[in-house]
Amino acid sequence: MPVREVVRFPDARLKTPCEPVGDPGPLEGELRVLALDLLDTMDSFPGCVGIAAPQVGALVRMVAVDVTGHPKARSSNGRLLLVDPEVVDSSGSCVMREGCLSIPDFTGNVRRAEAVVLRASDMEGTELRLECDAYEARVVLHELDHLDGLLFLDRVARAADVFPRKRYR
Amino acid sequence: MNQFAIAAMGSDQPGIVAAVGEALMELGGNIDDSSMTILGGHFAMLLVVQAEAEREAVQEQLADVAGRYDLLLEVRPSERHALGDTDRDDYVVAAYGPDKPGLVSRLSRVLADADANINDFGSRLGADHTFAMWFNVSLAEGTDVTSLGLQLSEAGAALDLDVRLYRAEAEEL
Repeated sequence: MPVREVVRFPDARLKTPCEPVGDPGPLEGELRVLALDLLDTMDSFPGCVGIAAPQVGALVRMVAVDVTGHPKARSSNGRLLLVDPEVVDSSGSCVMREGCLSIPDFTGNVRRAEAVVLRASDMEGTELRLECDAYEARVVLHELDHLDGLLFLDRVARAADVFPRKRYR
Repeated sequence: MNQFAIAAMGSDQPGIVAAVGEALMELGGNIDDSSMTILGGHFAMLLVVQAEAEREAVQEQLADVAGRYDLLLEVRPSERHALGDTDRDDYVVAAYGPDKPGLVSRLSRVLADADANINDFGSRLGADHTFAMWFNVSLAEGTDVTSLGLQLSEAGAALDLDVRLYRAEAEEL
């Protein structure tokens, strides 16, 4: 499956809330292709641990997450493709520095929950209930924000929490 | 005891803070509060200082440091303020978009017209010319937050700026 081009701010699609997939059955047709492309696109960036459908220009509620083997990860639910993910419970709060493929110029300190319980479906339409904490919870919440048209810059409290990133072209 | 606001600005170099601090200490002054920043190689600092001396004496005492470091240096008498203004709710205005002239003035005008006080303001300019800024503001009593948010969004949209108004989160300890 092909790697798709990643959309960058100020592309308006990044600020647009996404539509639910809605259908509980296995993903078919374009949606299945999108799911596989999301995973491939995530894999194509070294160190990339998550990507959301709007980042490849598709305004549907679908994200890919994989923190397997990441040194900051505590929980790891493996390689995930989540359809219509929802946070059903969250607890704790911590600040961590985040970056985003769609805002390559900045990183920022963002406060988010430390642990979340998620409900979602996988590619086959199987209902999932996942417990994520620490780094995996952060990645999931960052990706879910994309589905609501929110970027990490919307979660930053002040300019001093944002850091211009050096660009290597 | 008198209270002063002391502003200093000049080209950044090592030793400025030490020189100003030492000059104030020789005068028996005490620094109550301070903020310093460097932008584009320019140093700027604001101090709130308590001292027995009169304003002219403090200005005179700092003249040598100002000359040595080529600083613009101003001493003004300062009223004592209560710490923090707890009557007002604190909000964040986050805005970002392609850089162009007028972004700061447009949004800050909307805030000023709503009698919102800007407590902190800062911006970042990315290599791709994305301009991102954050205002930390205290809203006047009775402010319609939803309506202010809409006004800010509309003002921003005219300049391709994405604007959000949200309540500043208190640290839960």
